Amino acid sequence: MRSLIICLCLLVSLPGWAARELEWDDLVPADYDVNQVYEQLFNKIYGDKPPEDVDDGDARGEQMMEAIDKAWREAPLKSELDNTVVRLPGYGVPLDGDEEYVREFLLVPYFGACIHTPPPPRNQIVLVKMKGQGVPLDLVFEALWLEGTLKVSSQDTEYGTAGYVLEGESAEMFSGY
Amino acid sequence: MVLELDNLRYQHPGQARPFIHIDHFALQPGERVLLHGPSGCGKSTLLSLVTGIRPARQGHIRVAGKPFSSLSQRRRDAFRADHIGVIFQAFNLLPYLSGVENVCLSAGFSRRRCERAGASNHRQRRDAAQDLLNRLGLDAATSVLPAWQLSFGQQQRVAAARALFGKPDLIIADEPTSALDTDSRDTLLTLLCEQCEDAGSALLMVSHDSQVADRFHRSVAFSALNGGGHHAA
Amino acid sequence: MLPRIILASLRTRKTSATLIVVAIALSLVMIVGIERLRHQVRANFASTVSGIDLIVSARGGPMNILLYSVFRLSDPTAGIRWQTVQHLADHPDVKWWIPIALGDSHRGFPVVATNYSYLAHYRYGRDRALSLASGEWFAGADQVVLGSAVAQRLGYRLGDDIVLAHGASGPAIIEHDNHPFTVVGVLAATGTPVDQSVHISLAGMAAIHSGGLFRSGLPPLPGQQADTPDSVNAVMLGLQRRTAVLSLQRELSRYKAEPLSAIIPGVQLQRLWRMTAVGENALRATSLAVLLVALLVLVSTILAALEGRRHELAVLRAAGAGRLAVYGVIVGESLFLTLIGSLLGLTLLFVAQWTLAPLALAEWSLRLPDSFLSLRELPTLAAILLAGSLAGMIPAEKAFRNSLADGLTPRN
Repeated sequence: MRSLIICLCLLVSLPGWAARELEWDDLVPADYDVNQVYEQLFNKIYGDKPPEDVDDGDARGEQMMEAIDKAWREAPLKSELDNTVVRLPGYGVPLDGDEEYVREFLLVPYFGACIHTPPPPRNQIVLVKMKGQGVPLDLVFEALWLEGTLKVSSQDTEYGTAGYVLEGESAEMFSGY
Repeated sequence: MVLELDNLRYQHPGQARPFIHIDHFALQPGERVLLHGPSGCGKSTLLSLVTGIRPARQGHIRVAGKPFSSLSQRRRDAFRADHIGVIFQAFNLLPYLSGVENVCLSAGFSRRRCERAGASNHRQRRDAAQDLLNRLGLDAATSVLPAWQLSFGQQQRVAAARALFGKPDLIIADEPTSALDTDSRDTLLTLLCEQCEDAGSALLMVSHDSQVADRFHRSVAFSALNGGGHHAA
Repeated sequence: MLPRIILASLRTRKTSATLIVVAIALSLVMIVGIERLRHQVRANFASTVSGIDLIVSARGGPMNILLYSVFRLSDPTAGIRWQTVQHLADHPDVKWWIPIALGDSHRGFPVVATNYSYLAHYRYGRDRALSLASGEWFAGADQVVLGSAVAQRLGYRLGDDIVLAHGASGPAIIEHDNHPFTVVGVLAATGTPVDQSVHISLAGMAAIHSGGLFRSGLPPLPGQQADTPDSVNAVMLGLQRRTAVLSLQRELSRYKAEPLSAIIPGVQLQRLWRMTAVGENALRATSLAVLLVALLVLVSTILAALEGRRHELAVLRAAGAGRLAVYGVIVGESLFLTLIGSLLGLTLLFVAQWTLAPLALAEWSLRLPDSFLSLRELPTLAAILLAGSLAGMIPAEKAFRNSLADGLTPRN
């Protein structure tokens, strides 16, 4: 009898159990250090000039931005995450939908970048394609938990280009950890 | 006993002394009693208490052997539906319903009276109502006219039929003939008393006219009954 | 028995009953109608464009860019040079691109200069592509393809010649009347601003603004590229991978050759809804107020009628009606009136929708709703019926109390 109850409890908790809760750091391969990359680029472009003296109009500032953009575009992905069921919080950037639901959107860790910070690197952006109706419009504008199957393609092929894609099952509001 | 009043007292809000003060009154099953007295002496108020529309807070009323005045409003209304038929002086009917439909109102509020009338469905109810109306001198054609099209005498007869439907234990009539001419009055009273006799219903009729007393078993002066009561001049 | 009493009693008060029913019907038309319209307008807006990742234009307010490039509702301020368009076309992140040039009109309809990409890549609704109802897409610089509403309203057919006017709207003062265009195609209806647009080739726009001859077959003037204008107002982009949207948007905002803004249509539409939400809520509040007034009319009318119904109620009470039965009569009546009023309102709305639908589609590219009652609206209807029933409670209680006070015989 007791074993039956335990089995039932396990079964009931299975869906939540099966989805792996990720943090954005988990999407970055272990050997890729964002800060290191940044420093390397910085040193390459600025040489010995200390960081506090960087200003916007500076030509090297431009170069820096471009270099970072390029680096972020080519940031490596973690291919072992392919086909895992995950749960990830983030902000949504709506791409496709209608007046009530958003069906396709980008999930990013932060929203509303100012001009001083570049957009997230490739391994910190997830393209979410919702199954079914989609996520209610109001929810997408807030922070949300996304749950679904993460797919990783690490090569650009004729069928698609590299990046994280999440086949979204469900979404709910995120109000803190 | 079909009606019993014990130590019944009632005063209108704002009055210092009781308007109604009746030590004792009883009515036997099938008995017909005339209560006569001038207008304004409290007869209608007494009838409101007896029918249970007005709550009686002081004293006791028993109807059909059961305590009546101590019941809740809801129970009194249900009890009235089952055991008491009422006839007013005027405005007895819903003008937009036919005579038959007006009679069936009693049936609508009391299953007991349906059973006693031998009517277990809608059709039978209408038939029973029609039958009663016939016996009160109204034919089928008249019975289906909307009530506002009937003459006053006819309306009062429909009212009597409604009160009689389902053989209630007690029928209360508040000056039912006062607005009729002498002939109509006689007709109505004859029919009413006949049907009461037939059905075994007791009749308590209130009137300012004591001349009709010969159709009743007893005739009581209201002032005698309402011994301690003080009334507006 | 109760329904019979309610109906027969109402028949004696036909006039006031009719007025109440009409009042409720009208307030329902307002409440449901406004909600439907709001929903429909949003749906129309939201379905105007799909599958477009970025819209690039001269630096300006994002909402403005959305409004003129997609909805043709605002006026563009500056253009972007063709070299920039070329840069975008050659960009490795870009899969396809649609150039959009505005600035002319034809009898009030905006002219859009573009190329074959428009027909091939523009999507609306749920990924629906444009298609031609008749004819074919323009090939030469003197050919025009009409949106469905333009063709229908102005009665144009294939082969007709039209003249374009300078200026995005209003009556024509300066016309390009020595450069008529021939209608070679009409697009199928989409329910989007595409229906209201007049489409010409970029060469066509270049020609009418450069003053050069352009009839097909003739060579371009020296220094002028035959099929490119010197500037366009916007370029719609579809990217190789959608995840590149944010980085490309950033990159373009730093484009050195000229100041650019790149907007994500999905994000801007959301902002649009947030802005309109205030107005929508105000409208909703208004229609609720109207319903409240109608219900107050209901209550006061029933209350007023109670005086005249004292005998009616006395009869019922004498026959054995208790509080429940009295409530049944009075609340039943107000519920009945609310129900009839609601049905009347829904019918009126349905007829209005049906009658106005063709006009709305032709005039404003607005698809009107076509349902009598949708599942989404059931809670609203239920709430209205409930409110109508509750409105009857006050008179019902009063009626019952009256009967207690009246005793056996009401004395008026």
